[in-house]
Amino acid sequence: MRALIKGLAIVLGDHVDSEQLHPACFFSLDPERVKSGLFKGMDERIQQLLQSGSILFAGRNFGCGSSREVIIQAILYNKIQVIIAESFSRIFFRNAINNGLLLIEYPEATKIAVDSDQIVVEIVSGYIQNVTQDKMYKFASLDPFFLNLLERSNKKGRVMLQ
Amino acid sequence: MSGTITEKVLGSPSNSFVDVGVDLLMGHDGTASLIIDRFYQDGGLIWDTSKILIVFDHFAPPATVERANIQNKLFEFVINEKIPLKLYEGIAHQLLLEDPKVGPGTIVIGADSHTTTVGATGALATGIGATDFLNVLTSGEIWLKVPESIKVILTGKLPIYIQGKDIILALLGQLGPDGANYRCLEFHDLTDDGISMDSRATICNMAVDLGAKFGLFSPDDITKEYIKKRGGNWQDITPDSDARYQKEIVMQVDELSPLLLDPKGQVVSVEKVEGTKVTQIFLGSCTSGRLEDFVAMDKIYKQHSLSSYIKTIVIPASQKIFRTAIDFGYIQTCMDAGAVVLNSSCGPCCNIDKGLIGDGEICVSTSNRNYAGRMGSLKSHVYLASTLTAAATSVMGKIADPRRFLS
Repeated sequence: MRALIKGLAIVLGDHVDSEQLHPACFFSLDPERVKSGLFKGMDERIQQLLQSGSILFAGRNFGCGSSREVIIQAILYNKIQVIIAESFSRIFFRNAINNGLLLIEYPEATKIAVDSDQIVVEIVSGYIQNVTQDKMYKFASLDPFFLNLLERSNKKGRVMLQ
Repeated sequence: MSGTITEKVLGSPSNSFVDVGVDLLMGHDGTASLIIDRFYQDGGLIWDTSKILIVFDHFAPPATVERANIQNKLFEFVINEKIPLKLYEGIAHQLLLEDPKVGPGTIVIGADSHTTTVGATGALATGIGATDFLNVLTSGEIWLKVPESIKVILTGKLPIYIQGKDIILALLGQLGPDGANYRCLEFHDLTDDGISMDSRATICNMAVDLGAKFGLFSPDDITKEYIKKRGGNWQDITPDSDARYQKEIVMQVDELSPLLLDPKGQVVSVEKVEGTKVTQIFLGSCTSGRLEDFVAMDKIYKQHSLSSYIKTIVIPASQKIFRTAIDFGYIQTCMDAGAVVLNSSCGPCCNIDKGLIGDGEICVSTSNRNYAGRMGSLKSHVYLASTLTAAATSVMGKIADPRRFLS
């Protein structure tokens, strides 16, 4: 994982569930098929916002629902490296950490950006910069226990980025 | 140590991290299939095949060539590694309930979110993803953050028109879909007649749909009776009187009315939406599809046939339940009423197998999730309800209160 993550914002709501993120009909062992399923349960406006390296902002309980790890794979295949949300559902949280996907819990995360804002996330010093709006937000570092897991997962390269 | 059931079983206070040994690990064709290549890359050594169970229930049997290929890959893995396999015998969580290795205080990890179902037996059971499955498969251990618990005390006399589904929907309405996120829902059954194991399984099944890591019933005489009949070890596990809970909720079950989760995610009383037209009823899944649900269907279908042009799909949660339901004549009653009975599997519940719904359809389902597109078209709508409410609805062709059918 690079220390500096840059991308354009996509802002989602509360309780974004597994079927919105990645409908079960996209379950596959074929990376291209898995990749293509991301956001296919959401409306077309959001699907159109998606691009390589998007940065996701969301409300409460992001990733609730199924334990299917293809959801995380689909996110990583689309080169999304960080999700900033008010809270994450627990299985999604474990799956993300296990695959080196950075999750940042931030209160009122959906107020940091609007769709397509330019965002920079600086991991080491712990800030989110909204370049478009010229604003900075400091976030608390991940619990060392999880940071260690995240780094280990990254070294193992659980999901091979295409 | 002093504490909640979870703290005592895990031997550590809430919010601490522990590495614990796993008593039973479950994976199925929709999750375990993801780790086979990585397993061999990592060295390919299994911790203990006697403590692993692979279940084919999602693609059971496969409906597409791709799924057949995915399942075949897992098939080969299971044969090579000599791992116990349940081939089309039912839904994983029901098969875990039927497994003598599962009981009070056992730690059950499953690569499926609804593994919490097994908490009905007093087990600490939770769902994980494929990588965690692989880690347990090779090490026999898992790290857990010991969750805080919410104590839910159920009291009063359970009315005949109320099932476990109504109880968990009431709690969902009260706490919301993340109201128990990262926590354990610790249920205490102080009702007059006791809540059946089948209803307890329904309640624990949907604990995860409130975000819970574990949902479990404090083991009591009903649990003991179940374990005695099924086989397996009993151990007394109770929370300490000075255990600390994040919250305590008392639910008076006789005050409940039949409930639905509507397509917008709101819990509403059946009365409020009675008369809404439907196109399909699904009676099954790991949430329902147990013997108690067949008794409920039998009660209604003995006297009434299905409304014309309503597709009603019945799926027993396991072959064992299927056989018993045949022996008792419940399957015959369902078929005579006009329902179609499919083999024990997950069925249409997660947009995989037969019974998916098309654009504009409205389904009443006894399953656990009604996210948009969960059962088919993104333009379809699903209401979640108890078996009694779903069966009553299939007779009327529109959402109906089961109290109309029960005297």
